[in-house]
Amino acid sequence: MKSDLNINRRKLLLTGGAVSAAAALSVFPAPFVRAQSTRTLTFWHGFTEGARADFMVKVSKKFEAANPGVTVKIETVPWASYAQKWPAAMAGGTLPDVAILLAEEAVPMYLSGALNTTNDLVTDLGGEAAFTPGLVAANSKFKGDLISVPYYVHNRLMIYRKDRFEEAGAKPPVTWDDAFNGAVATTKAPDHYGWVLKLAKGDVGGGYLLWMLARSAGASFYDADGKVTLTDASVKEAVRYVVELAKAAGGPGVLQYKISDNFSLLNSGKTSMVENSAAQVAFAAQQAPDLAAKLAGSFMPKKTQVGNLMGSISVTLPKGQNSQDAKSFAAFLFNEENYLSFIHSVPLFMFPTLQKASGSAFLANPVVQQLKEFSDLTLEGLKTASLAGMEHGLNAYGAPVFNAQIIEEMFQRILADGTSIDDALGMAAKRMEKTITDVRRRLE
Amino acid sequence: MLTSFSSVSRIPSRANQPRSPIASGLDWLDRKLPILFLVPGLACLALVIAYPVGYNLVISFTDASLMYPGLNYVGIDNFVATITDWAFWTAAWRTLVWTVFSVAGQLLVGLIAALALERVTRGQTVLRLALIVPWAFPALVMAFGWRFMLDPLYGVANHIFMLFGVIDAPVAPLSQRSLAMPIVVLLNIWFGFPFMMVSIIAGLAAIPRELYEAARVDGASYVQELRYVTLPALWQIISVLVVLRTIWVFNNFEIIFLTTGGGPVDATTTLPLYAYQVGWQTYDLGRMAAVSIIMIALLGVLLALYVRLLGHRQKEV
Repeated sequence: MKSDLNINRRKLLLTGGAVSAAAALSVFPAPFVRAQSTRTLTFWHGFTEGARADFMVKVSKKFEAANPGVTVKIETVPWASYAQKWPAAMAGGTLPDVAILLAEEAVPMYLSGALNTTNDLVTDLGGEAAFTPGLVAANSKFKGDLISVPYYVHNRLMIYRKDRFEEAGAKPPVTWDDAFNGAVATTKAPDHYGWVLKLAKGDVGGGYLLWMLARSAGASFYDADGKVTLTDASVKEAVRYVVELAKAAGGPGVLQYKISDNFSLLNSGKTSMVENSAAQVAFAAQQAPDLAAKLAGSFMPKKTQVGNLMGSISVTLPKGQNSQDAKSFAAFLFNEENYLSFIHSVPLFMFPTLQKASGSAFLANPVVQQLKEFSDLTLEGLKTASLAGMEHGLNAYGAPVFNAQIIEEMFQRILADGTSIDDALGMAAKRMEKTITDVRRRLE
Repeated sequence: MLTSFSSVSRIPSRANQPRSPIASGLDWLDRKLPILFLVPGLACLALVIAYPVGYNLVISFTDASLMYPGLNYVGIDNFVATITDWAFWTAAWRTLVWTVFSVAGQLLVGLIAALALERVTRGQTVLRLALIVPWAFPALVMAFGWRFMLDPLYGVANHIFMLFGVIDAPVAPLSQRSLAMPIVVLLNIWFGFPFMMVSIIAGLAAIPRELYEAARVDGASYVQELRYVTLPALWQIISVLVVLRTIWVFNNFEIIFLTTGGGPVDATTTLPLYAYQVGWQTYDLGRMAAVSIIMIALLGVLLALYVRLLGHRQKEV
């Protein structure tokens, strides 16, 4: 018996090894066989709310129906976490095949080797001429290649409660002074505040606001060569303006609110003014028509000019597992029928980039017509708008500088710690220089 | 027996025959069989622990970036940059404050709740369930729930304090340097005490009743029972709980990240948040790895200190 047991033990190992090898051999060919019959296309987008998320499901199903054997796997990646998500996906080898993202995020992705170019895709869509003049060059061209395709755009506006402004006898917030006085006049603490700013850590609200105000004073965070100009007098003046505004009419929560709080702050009546795209009004029109009727809009307050901040959401082709279908799917999103349906899924939220979807095709929508004031303002503003930190052209510094939340930390130091504006600006400038130096070192 | 004899008699004759390399290899496998059975488990451990730790260690000596491909050996630059960064040491101090006060608070509240529950004779099950509720909350729900309650514009806390005249105008406690850390510590105590409570209840149930009876016969008061019977009997459980919770709380990221994001400024930035900021906001993977290696060392020192202190205490009781 013992002898048999010894032999069985050895046999057990040999048999186990043989079974494992056979199982491995039988399993490995399977994906190759399957790959020939079905293909998965991984698609990232950041649309978390109903209408646009539903649209993406619908358009994916349509693509699957038109392309038997292709399964579109949708993964929703919130805009705010995109900058953290893609490096992790790249490290893990799980990049998607198609991704809709903020245009500025495409630059670091491209530099890291995570993106395929979109040169062919743009050509297939009719070339740069098929888009709003100059838009593709300004938003998608980097080092001679096209790295994304602008899907839709919008422009930050100053949206305010005209009923409160009228009641307070305040002028529309056209200039810095108008906006400041309007914010103070429409503050009725503790019930509501004039302009609840969004300066929280973990967000880019403070950076975007300061960039727009600095631009309106003719200044920038850094020049075309990446030299930091944060301590220039005009930027300092913009910082002082934000700080005084926060103290006088921002309410107690300015250091903890984020851009995503805009909707609840305005819809609940807690703020009289918000800096946001026309989407704010579009959602109010859908969800709170009474409130929408009380809203008015203007460009962001100006010092010497308007600092228009463009939001550009773009389609990219990351280096996923299925580049074969990625281009077709991306082109499918721009197909005339699909494209206009998407643009109008939340009217006034998205402004078209394709020429054929602009003009009467876009303006015919009843909600867009009803809120013409906001669509006109946006379309006008887009003519001079640029992406944050990209006023000198698409560059590698914008996304890292804003993602590092340097400006938000600076405002927190001033407002929570009482650090002087000069000292806080100096610290922020040093951090920005280090960020830009690190990027430059990587690119050399 | 017959089979055994025949087996034994065959062995010498086989041993005298020349052995092929395969047969020798199989014999070796036979002799080392127990080790072979350990291989899958050890491989799993290596994959989930040794590989990440080893990879982290290697990366910490490079300039690896989350954003850009390629890496270069940079020696101990990342470690030097970390330990010469004042923000690292302030984060380390805050981690100590966060860990010590959270664990002490959780233990104290958990112990009191367990002792109180032991004396409840009716509705004990319902009370236990009610007290376990905080532990059952996902951190995300809990953090957002508390943020909402403490919100300066919508929060119920401000409303109540203003209603009773405690404050004249709404305040944002999570935006104030002096209040942010105490609040997240309180939140963590609320979140973590049920674990302590449940474990201590189990420990209390294991204490022989005879010890209490003997103490009462000797005229011991409740406090004396607690001092000389209950706490000594619970000491081993408490030691394990303290060590475990220290590891968890020290490394906790989500509670602070979701409530304050480490702010205002850096008032609640503990080492895990510091590492996150280094790695995910500046994409400096090499330095993030160096921070985590230093964190492991610091945690090791803290735990060694604990074990020593708790060991001394155990000998005393």
